[in-house]
Amino acid sequence: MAQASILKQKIRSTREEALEVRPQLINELKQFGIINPEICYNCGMCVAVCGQSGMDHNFPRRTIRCVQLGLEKELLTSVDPWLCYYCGDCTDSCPREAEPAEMMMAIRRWTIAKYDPTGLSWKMYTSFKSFLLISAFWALLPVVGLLILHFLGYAEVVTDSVQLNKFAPVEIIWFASHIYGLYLATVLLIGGYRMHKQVMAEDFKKIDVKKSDYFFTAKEFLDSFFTQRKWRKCGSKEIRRWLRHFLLFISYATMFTLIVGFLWWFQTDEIYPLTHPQRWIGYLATLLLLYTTLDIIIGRIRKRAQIHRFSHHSDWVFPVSLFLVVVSGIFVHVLRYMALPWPTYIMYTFHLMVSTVMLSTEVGVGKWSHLLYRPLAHYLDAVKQRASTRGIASI
Amino acid sequence: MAESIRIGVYICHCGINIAGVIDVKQVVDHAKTLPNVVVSKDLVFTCSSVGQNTIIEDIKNEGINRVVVAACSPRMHEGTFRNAVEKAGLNPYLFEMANIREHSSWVHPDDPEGATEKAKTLVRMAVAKARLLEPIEKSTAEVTKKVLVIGGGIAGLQASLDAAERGLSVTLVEKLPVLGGKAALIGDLVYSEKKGWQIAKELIEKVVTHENIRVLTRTTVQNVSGAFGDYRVSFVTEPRYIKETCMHPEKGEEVCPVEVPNEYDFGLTQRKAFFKPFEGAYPPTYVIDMSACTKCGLCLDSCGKETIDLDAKPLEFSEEFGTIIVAAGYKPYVPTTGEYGFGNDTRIITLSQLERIMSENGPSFEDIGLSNPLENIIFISCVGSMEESDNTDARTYCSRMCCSSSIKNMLKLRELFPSSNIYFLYRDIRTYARREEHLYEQASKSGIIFLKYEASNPPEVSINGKPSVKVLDTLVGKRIQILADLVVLANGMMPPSDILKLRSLLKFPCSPDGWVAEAHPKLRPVELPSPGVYIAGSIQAPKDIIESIISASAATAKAVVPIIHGRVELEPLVSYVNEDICGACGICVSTCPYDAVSRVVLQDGRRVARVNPRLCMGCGQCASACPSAAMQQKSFTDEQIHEMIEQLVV
Repeated sequence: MAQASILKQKIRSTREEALEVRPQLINELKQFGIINPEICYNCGMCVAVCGQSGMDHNFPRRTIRCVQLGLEKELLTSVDPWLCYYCGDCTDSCPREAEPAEMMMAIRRWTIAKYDPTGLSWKMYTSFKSFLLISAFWALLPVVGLLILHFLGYAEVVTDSVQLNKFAPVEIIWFASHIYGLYLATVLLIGGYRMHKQVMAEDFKKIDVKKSDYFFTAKEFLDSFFTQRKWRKCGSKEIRRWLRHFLLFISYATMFTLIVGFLWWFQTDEIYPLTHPQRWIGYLATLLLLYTTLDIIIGRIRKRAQIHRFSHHSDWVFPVSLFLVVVSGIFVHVLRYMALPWPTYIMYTFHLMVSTVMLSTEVGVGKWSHLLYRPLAHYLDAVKQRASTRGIASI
Repeated sequence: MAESIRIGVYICHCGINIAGVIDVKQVVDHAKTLPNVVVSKDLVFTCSSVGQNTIIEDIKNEGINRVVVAACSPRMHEGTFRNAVEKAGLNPYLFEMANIREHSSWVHPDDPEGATEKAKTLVRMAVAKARLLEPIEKSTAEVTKKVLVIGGGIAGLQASLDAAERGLSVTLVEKLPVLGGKAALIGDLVYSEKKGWQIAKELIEKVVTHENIRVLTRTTVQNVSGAFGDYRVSFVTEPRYIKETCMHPEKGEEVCPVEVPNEYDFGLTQRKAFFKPFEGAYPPTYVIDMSACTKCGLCLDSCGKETIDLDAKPLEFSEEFGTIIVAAGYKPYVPTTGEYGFGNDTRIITLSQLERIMSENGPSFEDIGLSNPLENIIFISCVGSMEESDNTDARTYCSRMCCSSSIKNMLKLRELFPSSNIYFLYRDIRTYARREEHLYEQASKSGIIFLKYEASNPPEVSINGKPSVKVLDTLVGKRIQILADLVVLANGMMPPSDILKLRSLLKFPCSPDGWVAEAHPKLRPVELPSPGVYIAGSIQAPKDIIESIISASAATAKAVVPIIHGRVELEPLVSYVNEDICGACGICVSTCPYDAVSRVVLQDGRRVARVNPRLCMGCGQCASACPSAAMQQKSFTDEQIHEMIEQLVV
């Protein structure tokens, strides 16, 4: 079947209009962390060692060729960059040291920036200065919000005991965070819609994609979103990385659900006993988060693993901001138990600041976009596969 | 015949090759019954020293004077046995061979009886012929101590120099007005600190100052007669039409109204009919191209009537040579108009043309109207080479130098235009020579993009404001389009245009693709089948400069041997004419593929055919064509053949 589809594609391609080359694209991509794609001589070693590529997905080889020729549309309409889990086997075996894994990573950053409707991702990826400015803006937002609340009298500072819900009333925080969340979700979903449009656009014309294809392949999205099981097809060492990532995902998801879904229960001035699930679930998730973020940061500092040799500034955002969020959260907790009002309030404000920055950068240049685009890529690929299988059968 | 004929017959077992099928004893016994046979023996390996010694002993002790060996093919061991027979003091041509291996045991393994009968018949026939064998004396002829080199390119120059250094007298003829060939038109070479024209210049200087070399430019070979060791060659030298007394020939060029495409720039520029080929050319003199000249006389007015002679006559002369070296080079393939857009836009050029632009003595990009820095440069490989076609004359060969030459120029263009994008649309990269792979590596690392295309799906070039090249990229799986500022068609090499004339003059075969076929591709790579004629350089097949020089030196090493020997041995098994019965009908003259037979007038006024033993190759065609049996071939006379047939049909 795979051969048949390749053959079909070949026949089709001779009739197609030719794609214009634009070698200047390389300079654009270099801002996103691509190293030296020019020296690749397309031997295909990367494809041979890759656990993810196959007949229909000839990456990184085809991707790097598209980069060399500057075939922007081919890169944007392909799901290939998102099928890669960045294990680094291709870079390990590349005879030209053309850094294929790093290239795949850079293409992902570039596609995120391309799909992003706000244009902020582009600025944050390509300029560290812009990145700092944008982060500063998001960090100041909660401070300004709190000041307004206090100025208008919706909140007050109680100094004889820790009254966090008076300092930052939970219903207002809940409301504000959901507005913020809505904004971020909108940005993300527009990005996802754009990806869908790009990836499917060409194929809508050629293969008959039906609504039922989307329905019957939906489990691919869920499977990829929650488990990332396909990652385990990568190199042998990857099981550990997958496991750590899975733990990170679980603890992050738990903490996220606790905070966003049960803020009333979570941000409380009442002190529960240790046996209460609010406390031990919180502690467990915090410990896991602390371990995994430290693990990532240390790995990046040591640069031992292939994938950690080059760190784009955007790579630091997630672990550093998450680490700060976790640590500041722990401090808020501890200071509250120590009944120190001012330190608690200040630490809480700082916690809000880094959380806002973390969430915006995760959507703009990091994990949240990965969280959506990767399962979406697997899903759309499955949709296409299903539709094209039917198409071939009807010939 | 005075002496009585005593024949020795030796039947070979060839291990089990013959004895495994044929009953050798029966054949031996049968031979004993034949007239004149005094010895009949079987030997396990007749070709071994034991076998050869048996024959030698029998010749000495038994008085044997004709030897028949029934064994393998004469191709295999005829020479071996002739030498043995000669060692024993017998004339080596009193030997006959019957092939009972290839012709019997190998082809009839399932019929031992039949094979044995056939072997008997073959032996009977050989014995019958042996009875009529006559001794043949080998003869030699004197060699003229001069070498002719045809072609003044680097191969011809190197060959002349090598022969002259060995003290031989050399004549070098070149049809163009200048020496140096194609190498003199090239600038930088792959891994050579010297440029193409510098290498040519160096060789030219050594050649023209050498006391043993005579250089004749504008000279072509008209006819070749005579034979190995004594070739008579006639030439025509076209005049330059401008005398040495002309002090300001540049004035003549200035006023000349005729403009034709300049062949020294491969048509990139125009030149006058009154012209100097290129800067630094040797001889550095002006010349008039009479095929273009209209004889308007304007040059006469500006240079002076007495210095220019438009009616000068070509000079005809002939000379003798011992050996001839053919070094006529190649011609670059010129794409047909419209082939990859060639001829439709000045920005589409050939690799030969690009070499001229990159060379110090050629035109510049400005001269051909490309004054802006080039942004996108595309090279298309295998233009006129590696054709995939069933036509027998298709250029299916690889021209070998174009990949390296293209890549060399890409790197130079990258230096000239640092921000350019360079694409190589290739079929296969064959940077085969030493150090050239390194060049490819360098190109690939410098960001030159290599795009493979299939012969069945070649690039399409259209003109869309700029040349636009569309090609199916096998890796992307889609067609891509590149707008180019320069398209270079890496044109291959072709046999030179006068190869057909040389072929008929010097009697050498060509391969179906048009290049010269050497006597043997491995054992005799620089020799032609005609003795005393050798090949050097790229007339044999596409070669680069290094290979051309190597083959030139190799050809010269071979070509000087007969001259140093002084005498050449002639083929003994040649035809001869019984002049008493020859009617001079001339059938043999027209049949002979080597022009060895001619008609002569005897002293009594009678006309007869005569064979030049120096030219005869012993093919026997004349003998079989002769209607009066006057023409006979030594060792294959009519009498001998008839006797064999007689034995076959009894």
